[in-house]
Amino acid sequence: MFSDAPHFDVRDYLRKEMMPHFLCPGCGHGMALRALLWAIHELNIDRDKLAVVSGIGCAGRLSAYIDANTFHTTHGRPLAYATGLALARPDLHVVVITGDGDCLAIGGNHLIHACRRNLKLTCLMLNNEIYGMTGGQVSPTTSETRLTTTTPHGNSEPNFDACALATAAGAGFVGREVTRHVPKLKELIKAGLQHPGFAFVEVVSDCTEVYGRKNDMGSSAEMVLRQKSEMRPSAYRDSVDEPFRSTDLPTGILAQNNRPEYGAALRAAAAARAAK
Amino acid sequence: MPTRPSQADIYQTRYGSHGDYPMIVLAPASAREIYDETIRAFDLAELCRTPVILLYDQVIAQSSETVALGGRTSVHATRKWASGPREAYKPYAADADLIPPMPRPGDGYRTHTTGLTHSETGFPSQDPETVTRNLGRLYAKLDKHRDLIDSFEAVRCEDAEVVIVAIGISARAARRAVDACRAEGKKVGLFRPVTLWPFPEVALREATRNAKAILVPELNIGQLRLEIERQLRDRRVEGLHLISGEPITPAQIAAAATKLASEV
Amino acid sequence: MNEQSNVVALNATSEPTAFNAALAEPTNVLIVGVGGQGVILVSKVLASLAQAHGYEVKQSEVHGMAKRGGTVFSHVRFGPRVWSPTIAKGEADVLIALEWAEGLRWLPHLKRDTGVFICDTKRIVPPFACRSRRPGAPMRYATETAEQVAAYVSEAYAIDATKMAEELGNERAANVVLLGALSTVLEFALPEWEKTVTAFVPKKTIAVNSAAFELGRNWIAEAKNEPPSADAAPAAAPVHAPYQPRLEITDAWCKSCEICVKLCPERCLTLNADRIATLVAPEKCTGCRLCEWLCPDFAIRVHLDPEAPAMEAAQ
Ligand SMILES: Cc1ncc(C[n+]2csc(CCOP(=O)(O)OP(=O)(O)O)c2C)c(N)n1
Ligand code: SF4
Ligand code: SF4
Ligand code: SF4
Ligand SMILES: [Mg+2]
Repeated sequence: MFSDAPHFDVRDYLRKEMMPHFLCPGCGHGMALRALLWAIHELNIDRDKLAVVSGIGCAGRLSAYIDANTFHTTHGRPLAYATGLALARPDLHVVVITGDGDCLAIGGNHLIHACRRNLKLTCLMLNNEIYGMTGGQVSPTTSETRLTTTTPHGNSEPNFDACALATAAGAGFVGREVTRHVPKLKELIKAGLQHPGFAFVEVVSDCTEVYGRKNDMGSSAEMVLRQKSEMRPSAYRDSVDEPFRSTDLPTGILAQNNRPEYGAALRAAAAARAAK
Repeated sequence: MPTRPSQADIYQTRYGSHGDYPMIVLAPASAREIYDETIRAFDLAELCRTPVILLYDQVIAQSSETVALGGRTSVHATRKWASGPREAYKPYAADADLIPPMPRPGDGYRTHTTGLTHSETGFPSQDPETVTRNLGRLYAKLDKHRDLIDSFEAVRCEDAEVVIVAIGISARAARRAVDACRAEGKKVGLFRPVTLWPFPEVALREATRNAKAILVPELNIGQLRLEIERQLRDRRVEGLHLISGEPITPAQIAAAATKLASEV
Repeated sequence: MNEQSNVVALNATSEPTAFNAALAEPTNVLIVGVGGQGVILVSKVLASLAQAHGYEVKQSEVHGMAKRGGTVFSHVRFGPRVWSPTIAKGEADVLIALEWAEGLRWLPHLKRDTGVFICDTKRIVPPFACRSRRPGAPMRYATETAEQVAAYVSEAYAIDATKMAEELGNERAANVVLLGALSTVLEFALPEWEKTVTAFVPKKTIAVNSAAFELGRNWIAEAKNEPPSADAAPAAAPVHAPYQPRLEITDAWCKSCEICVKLCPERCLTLNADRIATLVAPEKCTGCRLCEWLCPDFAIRVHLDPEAPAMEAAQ
């Protein structure tokens, strides 16, 4: 594992004048940002050609820290902005950073239609099961019984499996990883970035200050450690005995297909019309 | 009321979003004008680096009119793109025309765009001075280019004692009402803002110089009237408001104008 | 290592060694290596050959974790009458090893006075040979010297079969190089060997495997004529230069979340009086970078400085 080659230095990819960032102590979104930048580094993506589009929320704030072309857009709509950008500028590498509330509640329709179109985009959904930024309201991914400011007696709504949703909607690439495994998350994001269609990556992140506190989940470190005990790589899933399986969140690449990419299809159709 | 005429979004277009900022809203009143104003909307958006709203009524949108195309057929304005070294470039530092050149992804500027209040660098800022300066610039920018932005039509206003102020389909009805009133010898004119926001207030004052009363027919409970009252505090301003989902007829306007003319 | 050739005889006898299975006692050949190297193919060729010769053959193998780089071994016993399928310690006539440390591991199975040891110098270092996470930490791989091996067995050959196969264009033919070597110490005639090898290797690789076989066979012949070489054992696998981990902590970015403190496997970090992460036990730090990766605030950067003695001398 050890190599003499200089190790990736995340600071080379940050807007250092913006640091320290505004996230709370221990917030998992920081690790997710590292993994994304690491993947970009390893794929040698030209940052002049990298566009990072984010929505509103703590997750949405991340774009501001990336030394690239960054767009902090409106709540729920980063995929809509990114769709326009990617269609107009196929030479750009377009990455979306969004939160569970941003992506699945107000932006849920944009997500399913982005999956359906299969435009070349990489969408990173940072799932902390909460509206972190606005003080901890219930989100579509909040686990049942969890306490939030809007579910003071425990959440009684069933939650979304975002990866299952994206898969059903036709996304070209679907994967999930926890922030605890930064190098594995980096590898998953790399695979997503390389996928020729719409890539949806769910990052299981921790909102330590709001969700963690409200639900007595312990210190930031304990929350990070908890991830490891609750997640299980899909490859090992079948080796786990039934009673333990139900609590597992499968991780890794969960779906991949070769459906035609929307942008290329659209350009080909336009070229065919022009040739007539 | 879906697919029924109404003019209830006058303030929605101006103040509909969060935050304080000026807005360009164009209100064409015919198919031909929609065509021209659409081109102008793109021109203004490119030139002033701002969104432009094209606001026209359902009646015009769903009616057929004969239009002779010609004149301007394409967008003329070209956007100012960023140039020069990256280190020296600030995406919201304006030139003398108060319009900052825009960065294009891929040109190496790697800037940040946000809906939060920001400084000239593009990064979020809540510093009172910075915020004031940058929001202030947005207003100053449109003020500086009012000659390009403002657009209106004034019909027989020079000697008018009653000036009707209306937009869109209501203005078209008012146009016939003016003719009807003039045929009766009533000094009635029409002022029609084509650019609704920023409101062409100088032109309005000029058009109503001799007017004793103003009539504002519109398909709402008094939105445009509110603005006219604000602009012409010293004048009598009456509204003619219809919220039934039907357009106002020329006869209704003519009657109201005639009555008003007789009272002043 | 001999520079001119890939081959070195550790302790060759000039007399050809051919075990005569016609004697009452069976011939015991132990083949060992690491999963994926082709131990089983070697044993199958040998077993089939012996069987064709009219011998009774017993073969027993263990290759459970073979695919994951674990130990693989196969016992082949043949003779007029064979009872037990396994070779007891000190009973093997030939020990043929496809990997250096595996060869050494099985040495006690060889007959002390007459056994022949043929070993590929290929090193496959198992992950657990280095339990310290510190980069450059010494690897606990076999350290035996050529002399020690030569002193232990009567006849021994260290052959860089993997490199020879690589030069033929297919690293995977290393096992057949060793079969060629093995053919010189058993009684079967060359054409029989060639026929059996051809029958067992994949069709597309017959040419390269035939060449490999011949290379191995000729090599032993040559080695027998060469004087024993003292430095014949493979040079210690290059370990990474020793590195000294150094932590660069950006105090202004640290938010005291303690993730690094609690998750450092060596527990060498703590929060100082100002509640900023600090390395308190630098000697325990292995440079594993976990703290760097997990710090949500990018406050830690792990540097692996070369451990320069010159620097220490200068101080
Ligand atoms: C149109 C609109 N509605 C509501 C809000 C308020 N708001 C800001 S962030 C947010 C939720 C963010 O939650 P999530 O996407 O999960 O991001 P997190 O903060 O948890 O990372 C909401 C509702 C808004 N900014 N805009
Ligand atoms: S509120 Fe939660 S999600 Fe937002 S920065 Fe704090 S810990 Fe992170
Ligand atoms: S690199 Fe960091 S996590 Fe690893 S041992 Fe050193 S201090 Fe601990
Ligand atoms: S993980 Fe980072 S922010 Fe947290 S205590 Fe360690 S250095 Fe500080
Ligand atoms: Mg959230």
